[in-house]
Amino acid sequence: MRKLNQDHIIGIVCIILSIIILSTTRSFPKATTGFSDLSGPSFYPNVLAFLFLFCGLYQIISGLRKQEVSNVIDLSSSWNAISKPGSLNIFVTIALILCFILFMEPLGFIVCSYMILFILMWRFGVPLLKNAIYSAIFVLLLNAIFGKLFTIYLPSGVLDYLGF
Amino acid sequence: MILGIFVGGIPGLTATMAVALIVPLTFHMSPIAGLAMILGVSFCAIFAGDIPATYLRIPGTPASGAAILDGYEMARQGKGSLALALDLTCSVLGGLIGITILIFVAPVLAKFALKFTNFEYFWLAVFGLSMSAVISRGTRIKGVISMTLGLIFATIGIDITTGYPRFTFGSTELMAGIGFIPAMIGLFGLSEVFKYVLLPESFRNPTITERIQISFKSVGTLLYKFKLLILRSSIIGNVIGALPGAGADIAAWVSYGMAKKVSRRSAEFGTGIEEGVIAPTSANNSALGGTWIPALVFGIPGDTVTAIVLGAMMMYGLKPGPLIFQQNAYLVNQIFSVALVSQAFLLIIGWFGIKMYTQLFKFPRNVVLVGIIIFSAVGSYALRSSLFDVSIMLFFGVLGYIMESCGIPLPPLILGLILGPMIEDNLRVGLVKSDGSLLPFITRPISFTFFILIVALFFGEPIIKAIRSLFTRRKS
Repeated sequence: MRKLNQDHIIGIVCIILSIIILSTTRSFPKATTGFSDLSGPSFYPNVLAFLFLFCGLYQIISGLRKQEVSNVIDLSSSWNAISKPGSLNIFVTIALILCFILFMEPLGFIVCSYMILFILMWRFGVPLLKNAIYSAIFVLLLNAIFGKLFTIYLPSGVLDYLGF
Repeated sequence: MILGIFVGGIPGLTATMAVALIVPLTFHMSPIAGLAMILGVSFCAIFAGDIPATYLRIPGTPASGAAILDGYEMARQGKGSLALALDLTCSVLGGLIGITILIFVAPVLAKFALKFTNFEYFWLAVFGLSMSAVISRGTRIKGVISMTLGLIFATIGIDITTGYPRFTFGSTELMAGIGFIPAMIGLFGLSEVFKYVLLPESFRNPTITERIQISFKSVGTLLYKFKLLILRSSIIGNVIGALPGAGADIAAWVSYGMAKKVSRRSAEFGTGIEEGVIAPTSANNSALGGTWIPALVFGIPGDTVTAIVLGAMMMYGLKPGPLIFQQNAYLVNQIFSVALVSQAFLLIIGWFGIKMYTQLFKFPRNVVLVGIIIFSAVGSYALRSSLFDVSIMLFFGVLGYIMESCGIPLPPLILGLILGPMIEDNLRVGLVKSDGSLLPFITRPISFTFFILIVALFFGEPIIKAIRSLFTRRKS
């Protein structure tokens, strides 16, 4: 059974991120005026990358010092935690927000939002009739506030073709 | 203000989130109308957080954490109405004291702030960030990680000095940098939603069966009796609120701890005594006034709410800082007036809020959560009519959830995102002024003071501990 310390994981992520930043800034142009690297676009991100690198190393060292069992991540139990029915709600929420991003333009704000609200409420266990009513109220309210009151562009989508 | 009562009273939904949700609605308003809305929402949300803290033992906002201890015990003894009435009036009084201090202190500080140059502003911003990293929950190093991450996100976009696009990876949307409001909505709104959707069993909130009756007559007697406690707690709250990075939650805890230390009934704290309700509730609303001091005077947010306020002010075309007292003196006076008037409205709306919250607690949490998800998505989109901003919100929502699961605090990240450009600009301009020398950053008196303060913040405690252990060894 593999055992990983939470501090180790945070430390490794920090180090990887700092390496990515340092390697990306290598392609940044050198400053032609001023004080060489100090006034160039890579100076400040490099300083932050080194700070991040230090944090990562500190986390790994402090993780090595810790012996508490409570802070140890058992990968098999982590998978059990992820596979809980409640965890699926997070993935459904993320997927539906992605759908909102992808389909709002073609479907239109009202249709797209209503579908997303309906599916989310259904997933979260709201009874169907209440679900339909609440979803309609939310969509109309948002459309009235953002679309009508503050005149923010909300795409009509398929409703345009239907003549609404 | 009604939104503030609504969001603040729902456990897990913070005052920061209420303000983040209201900001997209203020885009098309005049600056003062928008700021008035933000002020009203923040004061109401902080108070409303105490309602579930008293009846359900769940703080509506982090600032209500300390109010649980005695408020809930009073509710269990059948004195929940009295606790909430005390809570409401102390919130109003604390708010009034906090704003009065703001009115008198801010202009004086602004005159002093005119002496600040790039070197001082650089350290001031670093000091604000360091404060948030040190006093946030979790270990200091995790606070520093969060802060650095925020600073790194702030470097995304076109470099102002050279015009070179940094970390945009060919995306035209990223050229303008990370949208502050979508990031905020994601970090504080969506990540909270993720926490709750993980617990389907909590989808149905517990309901209140007790009929709420508020008697302001008995409250008046208690307020007179504990007038000094209200004043002291409000001043403590305001001072803590004025420290960059500290907020109403820390103010409430410190004030509660101080009241317990000083009180003759120290041992009774936590068993349901009035002093245990008065101290934190006066402090948390007074702290809100305090958080506006560094925000208006230096452009440094006192807490996450004022961090959003600063973002909103920049959006309205206002530049917070000492010059705002000269260039926009009328607007500053209007902000002060609105803040004072909002306290009167808080008393009225808060009273109705308490009365009606019994009904709202019966509203199923699953419906509220779905409402927040869609409001977060539309709110992020509304800023620039950009679906890319919704992606930003989603990214920061997931990131916020992961960070909180790992015990990494979120406020330093958002402060890093806000203060990042200020730190970089002042550092680079300072270096140009000093011909590339770092010496003026530590040799000027105010800069040196800030430098020492930052060193003390990070290393003061271990140094004191080491000295103490040395003395005890010598004695033994």
